[in-house]
Amino acid sequence: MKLQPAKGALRLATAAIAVSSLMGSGIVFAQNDNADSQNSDSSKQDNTSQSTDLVQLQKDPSNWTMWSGQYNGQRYSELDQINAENAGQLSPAWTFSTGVLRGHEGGPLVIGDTMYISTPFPNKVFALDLETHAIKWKYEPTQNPQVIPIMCCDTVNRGLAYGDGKIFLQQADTTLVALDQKTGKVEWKSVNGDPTKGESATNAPIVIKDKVYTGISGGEFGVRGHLTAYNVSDGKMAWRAYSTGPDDTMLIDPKKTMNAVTQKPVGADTSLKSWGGDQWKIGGGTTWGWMTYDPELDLLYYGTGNPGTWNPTQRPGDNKYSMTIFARDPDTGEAKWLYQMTPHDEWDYDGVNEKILVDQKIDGKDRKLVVHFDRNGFAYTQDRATGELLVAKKYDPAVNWASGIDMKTGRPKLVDEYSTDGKVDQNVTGICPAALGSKDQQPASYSPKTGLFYVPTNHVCMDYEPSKVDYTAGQPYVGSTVAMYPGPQDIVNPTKEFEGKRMGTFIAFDATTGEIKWSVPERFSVWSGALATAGDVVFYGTLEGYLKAIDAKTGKELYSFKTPSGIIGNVNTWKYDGKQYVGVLSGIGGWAGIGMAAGLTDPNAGLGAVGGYKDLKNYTQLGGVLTVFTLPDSVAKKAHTSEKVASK
Amino acid sequence: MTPTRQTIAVTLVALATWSLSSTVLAADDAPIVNDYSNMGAEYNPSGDSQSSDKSAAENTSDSSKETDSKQAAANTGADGKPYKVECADGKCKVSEDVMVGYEKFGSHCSQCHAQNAEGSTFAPSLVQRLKGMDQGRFTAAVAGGVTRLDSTTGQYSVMPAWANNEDVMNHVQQIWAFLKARSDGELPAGRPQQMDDKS
Repeated sequence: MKLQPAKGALRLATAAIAVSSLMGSGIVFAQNDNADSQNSDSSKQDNTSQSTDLVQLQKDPSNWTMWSGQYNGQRYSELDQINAENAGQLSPAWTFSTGVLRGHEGGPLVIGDTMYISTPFPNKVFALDLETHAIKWKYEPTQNPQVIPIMCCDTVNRGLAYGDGKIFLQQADTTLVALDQKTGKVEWKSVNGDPTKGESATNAPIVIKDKVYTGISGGEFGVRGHLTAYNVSDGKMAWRAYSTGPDDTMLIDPKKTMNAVTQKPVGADTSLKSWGGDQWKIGGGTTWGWMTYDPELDLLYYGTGNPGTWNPTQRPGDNKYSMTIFARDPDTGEAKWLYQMTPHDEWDYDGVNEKILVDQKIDGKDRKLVVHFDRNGFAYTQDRATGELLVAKKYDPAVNWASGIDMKTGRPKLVDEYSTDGKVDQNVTGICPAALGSKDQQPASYSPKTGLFYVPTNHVCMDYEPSKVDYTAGQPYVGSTVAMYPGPQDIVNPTKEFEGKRMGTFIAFDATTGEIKWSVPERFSVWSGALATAGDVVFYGTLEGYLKAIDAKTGKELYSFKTPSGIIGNVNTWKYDGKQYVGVLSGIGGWAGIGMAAGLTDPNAGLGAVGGYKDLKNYTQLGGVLTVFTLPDSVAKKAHTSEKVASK
Repeated sequence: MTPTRQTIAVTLVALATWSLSSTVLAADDAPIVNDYSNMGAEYNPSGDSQSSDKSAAENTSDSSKETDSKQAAANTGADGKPYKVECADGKCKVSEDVMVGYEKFGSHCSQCHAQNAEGSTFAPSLVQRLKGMDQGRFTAAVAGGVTRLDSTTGQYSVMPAWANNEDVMNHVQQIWAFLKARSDGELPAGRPQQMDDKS
């Protein structure tokens, strides 16, 4: 193994910003040394007031201040004007076209009397007046369209972040922009990557205290992933933590960073030792998913994506730390604990899905948990302070690449038949889930009232044929031919009958036991972020374009409305002028727009035959539109409300 | 990258072969107006905007369709086809070129154009698009990429230039063979099998 000195590695990976990056790392390590001694870190004192502001603001259910409503990622609202009894009387209140046609992921932020939304490339931002529905301001960056073809799965943008009077936009071309909340004026811009090397961005940033955090995309282009923190005040890089490589560039302390499974320090250069030669430099582990934060433990949670090429034979080793959940100190970036879900990935099961923070009892004991529904089809329940693995169960019965998770080693128990390793130019058939995962980016929700998770899932399987591929900077680095098709018919406690082949399921899941409580069958993948409310109503959208409200206890459908285009956005809620509203972006596209849209074949029905399956294209067309729902005034007035007003 | 020059080059080729793109309707029994394979990602399925108006006008005349069909046929070489496909009982066997093309397409192109080349919400259906395209224009588009601002939607469609990617450029003939078989309706969607004689 050839070890590169850290400086050389940094220079290679990010030539353009090598100097600032090195300086950044230098600062981080100065802080790391002091991190454990209380109050010696000046940044922790300086940022307390901003921290308190946003921590309080996110608790007010009138607002929807970040991607998940609150830091905990629960996508739960205390609002209960819309409830299981009256949800059937919902109707659209107003709509807004974004003027952009491609896939609309993410969802609207609401702060006070203003809504903020962003669009796919060219990444327009609109501030909308909730009273008049007029546009307060609009921002449209100028970006080189050559970034479009390096975005693997459509030019999506998963939304904005808010903090300290600024709206943060993570542009496709990796530029992070801070806009004045009131005027839309650019306050600063920072370039987070280099599109000529295949680096792009789709994620929603998040603000914690005095920093804003963002990720990088390009897992299909041999990008070396990283999470990066910028100062909210001036946009200067505070720290950067790579997903692969030498410990110091990953902000791993070999003596302090804990391996969640062994509950022991990870040891020196565990990432470098898990790769052949210099492959970690094109090692993937991109960070395009959602981030969550626990203000009490002061830990930031996120996951990393697939390693390098999709051809596993070409990259021996565990490929650490791709496919990994990280808990980091948001001030210094230091990794507190980590756990790799899918070592040596053979199927593109990115580990980026949202890490949801909940407090529940396990075996009668109150636990602080982090729960995540991985692309690989397993739902992981861990102690969020230590990472200790408590439960790991399949959340789709179709999952077959592994029979289970070995709770002692934390490793999946692989099934040889579905392994793609050592099978170059062999077509491995019948793997479940498909590369899309049992769930992709579409975030789940959690209701503390029912103790259940509401999870939008894919029910799609695949054939996977790895092939040798050479790395060229800025070119796709995939090396696999994948064919996807609907999964088998099995389903746990369906809420209704479904004829024919289905590709999606909306499930209620108990993460303390790993049980699916009930399943709503859906024709297509459910690619929309869910919302749970104190009114015992759960919302999600479908690829056909239906916004659905279901009963949080039973899964019974309460309301359904066909919006102008397929929904891959997240359903959010807020309160304005005494009324609860629910809003979602329509706009078919994303990976769902390719994985689902075009000519899926049924392997059992002969070539070209698609049986009773009807293509998504027969249900919907492109178009970015926000639709806002509410109750009629008379119904809203009658609704019993018991909302807790956030303590200011 | 020099996208502007490449775009010009592609446009010039397109202009030179505009009459070919007017076979879009004539070459297929099914009217293209009912094809939603790209879900409306492109307003004009026949290609570059310069040729579209003319192609629409041409298609109103039956005689021009005939001429274009002949021209298209004359352009496809000795036996008229760059591929060999034999189908029986829903299973299709293909020549080695098509099989290699299927694999290379799957590895490099399907991420946007979808596994069966039928397009996505952000890339056109090549099953449709190749109906009006000769091999020269196809190769030019693959090598040089395409950057296109759709004036009807104000939005960009961009295909990257593959000129520097050996795995693509060394197999562009095979990818063409696979796509042509798909586009001509000879090869249904899905994974084909290779013929035993490797012809």
